[in-house]
Amino acid sequence: MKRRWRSERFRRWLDRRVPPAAALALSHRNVFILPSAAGWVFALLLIAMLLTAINYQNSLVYALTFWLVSMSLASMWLTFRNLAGLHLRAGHAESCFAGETVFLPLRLSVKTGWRAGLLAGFPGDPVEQTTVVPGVSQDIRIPLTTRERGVLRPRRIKLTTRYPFGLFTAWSWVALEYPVVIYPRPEHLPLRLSSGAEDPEGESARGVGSDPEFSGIRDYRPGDSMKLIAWKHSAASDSLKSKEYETEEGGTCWLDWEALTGETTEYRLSVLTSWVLQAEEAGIRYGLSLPDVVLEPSRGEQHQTRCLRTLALWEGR
Amino acid sequence: MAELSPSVPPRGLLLLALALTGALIPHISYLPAWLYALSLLVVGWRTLVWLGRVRFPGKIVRGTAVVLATIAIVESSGRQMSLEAAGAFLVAAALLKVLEVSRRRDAVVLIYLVFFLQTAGFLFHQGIGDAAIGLVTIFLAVAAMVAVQASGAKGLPSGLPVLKPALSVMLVSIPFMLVLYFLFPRFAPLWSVALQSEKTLTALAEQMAPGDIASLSQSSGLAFRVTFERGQPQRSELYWRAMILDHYDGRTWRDSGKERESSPARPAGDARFQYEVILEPTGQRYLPSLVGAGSDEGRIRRTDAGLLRHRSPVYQKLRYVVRSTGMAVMADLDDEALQRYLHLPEGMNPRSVEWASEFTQDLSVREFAEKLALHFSSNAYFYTLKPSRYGRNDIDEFLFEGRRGFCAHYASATAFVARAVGIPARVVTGYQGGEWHPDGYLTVRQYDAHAWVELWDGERWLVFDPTAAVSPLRIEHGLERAVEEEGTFLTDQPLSPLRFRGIDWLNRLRLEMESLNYYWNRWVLSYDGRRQNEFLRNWLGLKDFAEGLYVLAGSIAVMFGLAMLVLWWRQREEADRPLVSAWKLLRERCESLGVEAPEGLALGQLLALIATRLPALHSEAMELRHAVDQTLYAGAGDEKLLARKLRRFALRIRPGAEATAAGNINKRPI
Repeated sequence: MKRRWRSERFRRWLDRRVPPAAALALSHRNVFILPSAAGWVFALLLIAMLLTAINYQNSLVYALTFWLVSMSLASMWLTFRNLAGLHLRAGHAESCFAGETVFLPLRLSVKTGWRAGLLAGFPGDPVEQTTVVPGVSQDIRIPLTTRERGVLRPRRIKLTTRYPFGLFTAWSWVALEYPVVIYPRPEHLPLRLSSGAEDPEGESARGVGSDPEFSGIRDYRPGDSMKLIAWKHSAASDSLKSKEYETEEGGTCWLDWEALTGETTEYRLSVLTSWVLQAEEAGIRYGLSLPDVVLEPSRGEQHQTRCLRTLALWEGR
Repeated sequence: MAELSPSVPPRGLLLLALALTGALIPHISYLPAWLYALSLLVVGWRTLVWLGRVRFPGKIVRGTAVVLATIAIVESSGRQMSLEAAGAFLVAAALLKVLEVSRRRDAVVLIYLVFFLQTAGFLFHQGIGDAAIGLVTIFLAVAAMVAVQASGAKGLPSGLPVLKPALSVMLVSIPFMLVLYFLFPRFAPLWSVALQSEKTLTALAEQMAPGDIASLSQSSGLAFRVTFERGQPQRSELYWRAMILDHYDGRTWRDSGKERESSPARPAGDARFQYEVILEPTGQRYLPSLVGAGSDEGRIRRTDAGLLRHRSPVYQKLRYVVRSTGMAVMADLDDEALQRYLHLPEGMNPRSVEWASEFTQDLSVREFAEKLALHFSSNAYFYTLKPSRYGRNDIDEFLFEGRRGFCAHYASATAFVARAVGIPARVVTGYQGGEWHPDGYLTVRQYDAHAWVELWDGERWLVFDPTAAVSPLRIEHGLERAVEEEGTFLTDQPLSPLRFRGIDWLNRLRLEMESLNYYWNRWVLSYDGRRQNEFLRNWLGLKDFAEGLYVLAGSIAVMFGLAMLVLWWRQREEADRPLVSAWKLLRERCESLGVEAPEGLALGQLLALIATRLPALHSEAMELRHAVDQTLYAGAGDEKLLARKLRRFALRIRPGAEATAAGNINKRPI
């Protein structure tokens, strides 16, 4: 409890000190530095060398020891400088469904001096070193496994370096704003269309239409049901393939929140997400009806994105 | 955040291999032969690994290698822990570690080992050349550190400088290194180190049989160097006393060890000479000094015979300051000592004893010495490095048959005869003479080793050197001239520069090199607590070490301040860039209007923020934002021009800008 409170306090302090922004330049305000494990071992080595110098009264060993002491102090400054002056800019991240991995693009640039041995990533994730050359911006993509729908609020990215000697670790907690929306995790429930009698507008929310006919094989898309996956074709190629069914063109349907009464909010949103995908796939016009929000039936990529965003950002009930 | 398998790049491996080679150089002189085989094996294996022919050795192989190497070191060092054994162990550890270097961590461990190997190397060799090689080694190791840190899973980024940053770090670190070097207090050893070098140090032996000193005379090795601070002795006064041999067993003279030691060892009476000696390691306690010597240093003791001794055996170069009166101290000998100085084994050298009885007993000591000297100079005695071989009664054979001998023969015979006559006598070993360098210091080499005699005249010990009677050249001009005709000077060292002193330019070159070495010894190797105090007093005008500590703290503060100044200066340069200052101005104006703009907000974003918050300036802000994008990211447009525009725009952000429809109107007073 206390720990949580403390880490919360740390987070708030960090937010004040290094506020989230779309771009940021590292300086003494937001770079931290401490000796690394190798640095502590090096300190032990220096102590051993100093004892050798004292006990053998050896001037050259004194000189060597003091030179290495002096160099390690200089390296502290260099390690700090390896981060300071670095400009970070958040790139455009593509939306994805919750549970999938979103790649957060990060553009690193610097005006003067090389910046080597940079590690950028979320704590605990494996990362690769990058080097930034002055005048050339370096793009890296940081993978993040998403959990919830909505506007992505990533944890702070940790930017670390131990260059040049590995004796000190300098790091910064970078909060960058990524205006990316994570769609709800699709929950497959077959969308069946039927001509409804009750709804005067046209088709009912959840109805049975004509049975879909098998029309071919296409690439797997998120939200496709396990039943749709063409396992034989998938095995023959590198990626998953799905079976495609065609329904009658030109139909219109409403994807209605009310059709899923009795379920939890997130489940309903997930099913609706899956329906949006299925309807778009089937090539029918579909409208989305949520409490407070109604999107008129339409089709096409733009309409699909609008529906998915609405589902992702919906905050009623 | 775990880093993905950081590998060791080929460039890093190469630097590391070179650094390791450099760190091994000072150890070459003593390493057992099998370690060279091991190093070849290791280098071969690692190269094959690098070429992809074989794999890294497995755990079993490595474990076996460690065990075998340990056993081999213990065995080849004769089961004695010495500095050499410890060094060999370090070398073996580093070599075996080479077989493991695949990841960054291994490389770092190996680099640390290289640093420590170099440290150990400096314990064995401390010449200028050794220091220069060490410097290169350290540079390579530092560069390897940089290379290893900069390389990721894909290796070293191409074009990344490695040597340059290493060099600049080393250069930048020099001032602070010097401050620490000169001001860090030089403590006495915290504990006496058990590990000492077993290297056979050239030194005077603790005993002397006729012919012994002749072996030293073939060595041109440095014994010690002297700088006279007060007084300038004659060449014939340069008798550097090191050891008293008072016990004769019929064959060899040795130190009975009955002389007492006392400390402090202040000289009795006015000191004619004051001089600083830098003694090469001897592994013994003796400190050569002129007669009537004394010292104020607590670590130096004086024996009853007026010899100086160090507290512990000298394994490192040692610097000490001595004052000498140039006169033997008046003293009394008790009965025990008289007996000791008169003792002769029974039945040895009967002819010499008989000859001694020819000297009248009421002869004064001085007269005895003169008579003996006359005997040596007027009869056909020879000073030679190739004396005849003598048998059991060696003094008899030398005095009456061979008559060819080295200083040890003459000293031994003289002391024997004196005792037989009834004059207390002892053999003194040490060095005689030396070479004056044009810079004013005296270099004493091993071939200056000498033995002479001291005779007791009832009040004090008189110096008597029988060799001077046989070969005055030896005393006045040194060994080389004394054995010139014989041609035996340094016959074991055909290329020694000392043999070519006749060639002028070669001799000058040699003297220059010696000079360099002298100052190296004086200012680097023998910089100890005393010299540090002198330095503080004479150069910095400080009274004691406490003040030195203030200076140390002060200079650390000054250096820190300088570093901060450099940082600030660089930052200022950055800030001076027109766009940055315009950006800052924009932000300040926004804040003054209550529009909150975070520090890290990029210029484009800032303009977008202004556009939304200040509708009156919307279109202009958007226009400028486009211009910013064009200039900064597309590289089209002039930065300075843009900065000027931004500055002008920033000035328009002021109270009332929210309300007016167009900024221009606001500018004109109505």
